[in-house]
Amino acid sequence: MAVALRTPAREQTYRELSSVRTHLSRAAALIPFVAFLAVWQIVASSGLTPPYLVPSPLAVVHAFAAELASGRLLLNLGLSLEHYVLGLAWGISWGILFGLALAWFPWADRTLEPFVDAFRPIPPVAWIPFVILWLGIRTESAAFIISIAAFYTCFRNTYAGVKGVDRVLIEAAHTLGENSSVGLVRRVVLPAALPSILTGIRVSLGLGWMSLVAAEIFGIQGLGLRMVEAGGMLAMDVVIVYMIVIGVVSLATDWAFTWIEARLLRWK
Amino acid sequence: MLQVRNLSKDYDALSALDNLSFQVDDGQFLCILGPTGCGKTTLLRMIAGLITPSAGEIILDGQKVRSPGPDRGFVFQEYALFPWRTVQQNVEFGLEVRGLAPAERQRTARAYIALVGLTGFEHYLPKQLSGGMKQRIAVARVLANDPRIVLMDEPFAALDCQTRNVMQEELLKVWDAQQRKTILFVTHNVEEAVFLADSILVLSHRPGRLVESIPVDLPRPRDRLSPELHRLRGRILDLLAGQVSKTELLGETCTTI
Repeated sequence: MAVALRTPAREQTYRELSSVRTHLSRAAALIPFVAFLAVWQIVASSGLTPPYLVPSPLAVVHAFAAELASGRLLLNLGLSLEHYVLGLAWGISWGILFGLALAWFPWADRTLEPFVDAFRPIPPVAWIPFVILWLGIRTESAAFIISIAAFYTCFRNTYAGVKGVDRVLIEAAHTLGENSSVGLVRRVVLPAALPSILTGIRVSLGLGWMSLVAAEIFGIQGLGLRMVEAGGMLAMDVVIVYMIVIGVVSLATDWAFTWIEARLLRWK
Repeated sequence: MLQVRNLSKDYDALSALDNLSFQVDDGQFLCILGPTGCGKTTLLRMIAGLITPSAGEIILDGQKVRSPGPDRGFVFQEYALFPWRTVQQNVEFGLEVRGLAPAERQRTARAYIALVGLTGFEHYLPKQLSGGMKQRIAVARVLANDPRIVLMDEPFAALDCQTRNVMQEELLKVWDAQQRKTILFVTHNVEEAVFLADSILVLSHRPGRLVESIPVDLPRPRDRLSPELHRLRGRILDLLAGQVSKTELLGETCTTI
C-alpha cells in the first residue's frame, strides 16, 4: 500500500524534506559555537572578570582588525606556513621512506627498527635546546621540530601499512611476471598501503600545528611567537586572535586533505 | 609438457607432500583432487614457483622451475584482484609489466574481457563486482598474459553452487576458444573434477601421495546427470573412502536444470 502511495511528486517532496533534514543536522554543529560565544560575551560584559583575564568577543574582533592592519598577522602567518610546509615535507617524506624500507627489507627491519623506535617516546619539544644550539634561531630549526612528529607518525603508519599488504596480491603480481623490487613497490605495495600512509599524513598535519607553536615559542618568528609575546604583555585579546587563526587554518588543511584522501581512495 | 619428479614438501616435521611424480601433456585439463590437507594447494604453489620444494623437481618444457613467472598463470581462490585498479587495469597488469604500448594493452585487455563475457564492465572497480565476476576477471588477467599453463587453486570454491556450475561451463568454453591451454585445476569437489577434467590425479590425506591417476574419456560437452559421470564419481569416492567424510568431497549438492 505504502508503495502505491509513492508517486513521483511525493518522491520529490520526500527528497526535498530529507535534504532539508541533512542541512539542519549539519547546521546543528554551529550550536556549540554560538552558545560558547554567547556565554563568553555575557561573562565578559558582566563586569565580574577584569578584561585582561577575559577579553570580550568584540575586543577580539578589534584586535584582529589591528593585527591585520599592521601587517603582523599576515607576516606571521606567512612565516609559520613556511615552517609548517618545510617541516612536514621533510617529516612526511623521510617517514614514508623509512617506513617503506624497514617494512620491505627484513635486514633493514632487524638492524634499524629498534634504533629508530628508541627515539620515538622523546617528545619533539625536548629536541628544541639541541636544535637551537646546532642550527640557531631560524626557519630550519622550527621546521626540524615540526618534522620530528610528522616523521614518526608517517613512519609508523607506512610501516604498518606495508606490513599489512595482503600477501596474495604480491603473489598475484609475481605470477603475472612482476619480479623486480621497484616494480612490486610501485605497482602493488604503495597503492595497497596508501590508505594507511594517507592516515599518517593526515595525523601529521594536525600534529604539525601543535609542534609549530612549541617550536616558535623559543624565539623563531611566527604565529606561535607572536601569541606568546602577546600573552607576556597580557594582551589576551591578541592571544585569542592567534588561537582562532591557528584553529581555522588547521581545520582548513584537514578539510582539504580529507577531500583529497576521499578522491584517492575511491576504490575502498 | 610439464613434468613433476619425486616432489616432496615438508613443513618442519610435518610432511605435506610425499614423493609425487606425474606428467601433464600439452592441452590437457588435469584436475588434482583430494581432501583438505592433502597438499594439493602446496603442489600447485610449487609449480607456480611461489614456494620451493623440499625435494624433487618441476620441469616445464625442459626448463626447471625456480621462481614465479608469467608462463605459469595462477588463479587464486580469493581472486586476488588489485582493488585500486579497474577491471581493465587489472587485466592489463601483466601486459604493463612486459612493457607493451598502452594502445596494444588496451586492445588485448578488451579482447580478454570480452572472452569472459564482461564487456561493458571495463571501468568498474573490483568492489563493484560479484564473486563470479571477480573470478572471470582473474581468469582474463591470467589469459591476457598468454601463459604456457594455467594453474587454478580451487577457483570456484568461494562461489555459490549455481554460479559455480555456470563458471565451470564458461571455463570450458574459454578453454576451447584458447586452443586448449594446459590447465591444472585443484579441487576437493569430486563432481567438479569429473565434469571438467581430461584426467584426474587423486591424492591421499596428509602426507599427500598419489592414490590413482584416472583418465576421463567422456565426450564433451558432458551431462552432469549422465550415468557415466555418476559411475566415475562413485569410483573416486570409493577410492577415497576411509580417508575423509564423503560430504566434504561432494561439497554441497547442486543440480543444474
